[in-house]
Amino acid sequence: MVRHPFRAAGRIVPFCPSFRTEFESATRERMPEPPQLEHPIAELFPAYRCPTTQYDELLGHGEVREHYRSLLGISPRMNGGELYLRWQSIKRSLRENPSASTGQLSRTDASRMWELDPIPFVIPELQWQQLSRGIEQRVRLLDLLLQDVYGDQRFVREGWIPPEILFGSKSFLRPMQNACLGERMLYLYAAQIVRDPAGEWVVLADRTQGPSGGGLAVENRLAISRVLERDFRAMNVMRLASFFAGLRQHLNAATEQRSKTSRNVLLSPGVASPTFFEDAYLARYLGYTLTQTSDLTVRGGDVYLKTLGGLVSVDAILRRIPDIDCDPLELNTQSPLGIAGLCQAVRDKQVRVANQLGSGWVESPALMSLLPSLCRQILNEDLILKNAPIRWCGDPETLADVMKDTERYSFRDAFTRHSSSDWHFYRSSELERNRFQEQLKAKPWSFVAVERIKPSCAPTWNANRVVAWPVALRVFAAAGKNGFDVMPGGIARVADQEEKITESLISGLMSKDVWVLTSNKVKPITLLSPSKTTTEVKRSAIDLPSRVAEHLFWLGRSTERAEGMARHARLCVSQLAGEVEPELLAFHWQVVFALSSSDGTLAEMPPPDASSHVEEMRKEVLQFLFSNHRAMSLHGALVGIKHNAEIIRDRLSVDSWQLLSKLDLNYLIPWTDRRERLGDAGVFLNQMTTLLSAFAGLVSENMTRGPGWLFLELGRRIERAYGLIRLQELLLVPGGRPISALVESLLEICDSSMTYRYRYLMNYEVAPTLDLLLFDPANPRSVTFQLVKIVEHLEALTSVSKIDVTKQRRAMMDARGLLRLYDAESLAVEVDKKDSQYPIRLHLQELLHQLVNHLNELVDFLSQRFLTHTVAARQLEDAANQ
Amino acid sequence: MTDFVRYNVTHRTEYDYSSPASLCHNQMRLVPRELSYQTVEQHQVEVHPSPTIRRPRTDRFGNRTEFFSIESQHSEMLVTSHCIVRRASPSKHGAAASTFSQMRQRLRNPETIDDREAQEFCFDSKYIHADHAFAEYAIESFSPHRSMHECLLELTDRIYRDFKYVPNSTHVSTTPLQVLKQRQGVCQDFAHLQIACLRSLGLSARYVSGYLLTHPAPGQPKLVGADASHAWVSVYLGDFGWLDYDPTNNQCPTNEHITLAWGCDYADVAPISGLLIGGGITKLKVSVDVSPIQ
Repeated sequence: MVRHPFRAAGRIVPFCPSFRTEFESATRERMPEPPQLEHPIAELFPAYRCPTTQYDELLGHGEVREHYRSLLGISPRMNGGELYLRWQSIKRSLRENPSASTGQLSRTDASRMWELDPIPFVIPELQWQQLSRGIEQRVRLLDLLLQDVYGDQRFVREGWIPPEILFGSKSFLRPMQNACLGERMLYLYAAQIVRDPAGEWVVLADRTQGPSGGGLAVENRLAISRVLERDFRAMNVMRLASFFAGLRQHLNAATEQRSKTSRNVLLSPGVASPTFFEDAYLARYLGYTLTQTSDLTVRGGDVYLKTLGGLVSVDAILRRIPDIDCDPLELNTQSPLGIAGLCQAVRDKQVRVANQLGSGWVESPALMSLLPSLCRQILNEDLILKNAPIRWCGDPETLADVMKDTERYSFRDAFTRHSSSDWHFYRSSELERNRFQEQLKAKPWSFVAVERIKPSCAPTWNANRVVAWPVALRVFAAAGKNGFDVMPGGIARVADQEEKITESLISGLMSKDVWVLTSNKVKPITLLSPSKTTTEVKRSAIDLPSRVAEHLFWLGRSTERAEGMARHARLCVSQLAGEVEPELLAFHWQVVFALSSSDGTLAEMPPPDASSHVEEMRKEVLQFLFSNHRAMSLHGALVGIKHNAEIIRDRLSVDSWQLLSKLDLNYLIPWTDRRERLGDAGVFLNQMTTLLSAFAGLVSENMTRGPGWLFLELGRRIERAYGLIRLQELLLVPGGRPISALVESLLEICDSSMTYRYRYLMNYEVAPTLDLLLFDPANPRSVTFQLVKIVEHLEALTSVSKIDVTKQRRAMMDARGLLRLYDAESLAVEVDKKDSQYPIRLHLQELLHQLVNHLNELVDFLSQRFLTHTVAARQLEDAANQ
Repeated sequence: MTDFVRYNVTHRTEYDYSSPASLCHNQMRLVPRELSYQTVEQHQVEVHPSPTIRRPRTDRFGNRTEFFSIESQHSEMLVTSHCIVRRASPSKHGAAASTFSQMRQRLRNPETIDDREAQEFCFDSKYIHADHAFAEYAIESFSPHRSMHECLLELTDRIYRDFKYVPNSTHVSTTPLQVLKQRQGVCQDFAHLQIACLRSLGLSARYVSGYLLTHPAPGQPKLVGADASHAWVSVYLGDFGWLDYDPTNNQCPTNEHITLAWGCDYADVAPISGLLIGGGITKLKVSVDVSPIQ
């Protein structure tokens, strides 16, 4: 469609001519005549410049289009200063309430990538109706194409689909032939679209594997509708929630739930993927278990989720990984990753995969160029949405045409979804050109020629001004009761240069929410209360994936370790920051050594008279805090927390997440020059200790006592036991030195000085200290306390997981019994050692070693029995023909 | 047909693991196809240890395929396929009808349903990628108005003479292009090479797996298990249909070849492929015994 030449100031031209009269009369009744602009556009938008070769989303004939008028200060009228203040404050409040994807623990490129522009992309009602009809038609067509090529291939036999495009493509998966006859292939679809200079929507790419972005659209909507609440209501924006509600309802209805415990899962590529946070968000929103391929296994021809409670059968898989990576037995036999046997499970109707395996084929650019004719042949309709100008070189006439003007095109593999490997004539040398032409001549059908489209420009808030940035939209459709439903919204991507706008979701610099306006009443819907289904009351969730349990266990260990390190380092800092008495040097060194040596053993322990220069000790402490090249460092412990927390993000409450997100050196002590000063380090270590204690508090007060909590808690108790044992070995086993200061430090690190002083006043001695830190069952910082708790947790684990841990529980009780054999006084006795001039507390050392052995055995058992389910599979040796 | 021969075929594949495997999923194609010149009278595949599930089906190419899983701990796996097959020499009557240029033309602008179906085997597949090097090698034997069958006999003969049969000189991942360079390989390589040549010329060719009766050296007794699983090619000749060529033995397969399965290349017809957890180092033993029933 061509832009209409007559347009009323500030009013959009009806997108489809047949609606013109109806639309104009409707708007005349509803809206007053637009006020005459007294201030020039230039005053409001001094930096907004859309090139004349591109469609301008904001201005038409020098006037602000109707649907942007209230957002951008035309009515009610604002001046430049007011407009600035409005968007500036909105931007700030967006920053302060980051969404799941922008507020990641490690401030990676991924979190910057999803930054949200406060100005939404607005689509008026009539334009949207046309666009959504086009999307619906397109996904219907693609689904029919897939059903045909994986069915009886009538379209191929009729000659409608050239054989090269099917049989020459790697994404046509032969094992799926006839696998799901009569069923739909697509459940979720996305199209990347732009508006061409004439103002028409053009599809750059179809996404039919596991299209991402839908969850982000919901996230963005939550954030934007909060900060722009008034505009959101006043402009009557269509809601998104019903979209995923529909998809979930449809998937659940299409899959027969075979038992009360079986479930649906979302299959994610994992934490390394730029859309992992969206996966986590979407899984939570849909109520699906977030999984990776290693969580799933095929047994007896059925697909199961590996959980602590054993195998739980899976009804449906919402797939976010390419189909080719799903089954190493039949699809990609060169990789051991994936779920071996999945294809067979699909053929046996044991599981429903959405989108169906093999659906990636319709993403081929080569096929796209044929859609207009296929649409007429198959649906007997004209294709509503234009394609990007992609031409398939497999057609001899097209190829001849393309070769006449090679500079105009970039050449792309006919079957790849990405433009990253695009080949350009004008960028290449003579030699490269010749080589490419040879390839083109040999296999013309494996190339398409693509012409670039200049995308439209939309108003964007950048560097405190409204600027015109090129924009692409991603819109979504999902399976519904009658065919496909289109999401009334989507996600827009903007960038400062048009080259950065491509067919990929991650292209561009920022996202925008997409507002679709309606004249109907909008009904709020949320996914939180699913309709009609009755939920069985259950007390614990045994279907915790083993992989998640593993990360919870390590999260427990790493938070406890970081807390111990922070307390210990804080003490070192306070001792070394001020004046240091020379006679205390050896003592200080011992405390610093206990902090920073990676696996401190007695042999390495410096003799008591060895003195180290204070500056060196200070350096050692600072290095321990900030270096990322050491085996033992605070930095390393924080990285461990982040790593484990990010992976199980969907299992952590918002409050826990916020606490953990602050455990970042860049957040706590952003000025690198301050990292050289011990005094400043003390301040941030205080903050850290507080944050970690708060996290422990949240876990203990707010987390359900399910298997997840048990593993987190087991991790914490085991780590604390290890820490206590290690400190006592390093500080109390070596004898022959003044003990009082050491004992005082130890009690301080173990957070037990208050109790000690209360019981023994200021007499710092070894025996009472050992009593408090080893034997006292009432002290949460004693080894005995940890053992008692571990035994309790093991008991609880047996009841939730039905796995027998009696033996391990008994071993822990033995360890506890071991402690009863000793008394604090006899452990405090020093014994002379043969080859050393200093005595040691030998019995204490022996006891501590035995305790460590018990703990090691427990950790080994836990990881073997519960945690490392994810053993890698491999291909069977090949019996090649000779 | 007059030259029917009945065969007793036993194909044993044995995997020995150095440490136990806990789970394996497999796919096998060990049952011969039914053809106008080949009848399967009896067939049976035994798997040890006993699989949890077995799911036979027919794949896209019409091959009889079976999926099976072993889910108990095991340190060896033995697959024994046993069948009785009646096999005759395929007729070659009318094979010489189409010329090279006619064939190319028909595959470009298909005239019949068969032409369209044959187009599936014109393009690149997992192990075979067309290249002008293959076309250059092959074109010598092809001239536009020569009969396809004649061209193919010559190409088969040239591959037989130009390439040396050297057991273990290649492995599964050796590409046809490497084979073309090093001029040696085994039957799988020659089949891949010939298909690459034909597809590079715009023709339609598929990979056939099967068995071959071998003859003991004069004066020697026939050794049990010495026969081999074998591979050759099948080429689309238009109205005649498909005809097989065996570049390893320089012949058109007769009643001494037994056809198991066909596909675009080896990846589609591997007798056994699988994925396992555990197992350590694997020792693999294969033996095939093809004996005519008197």
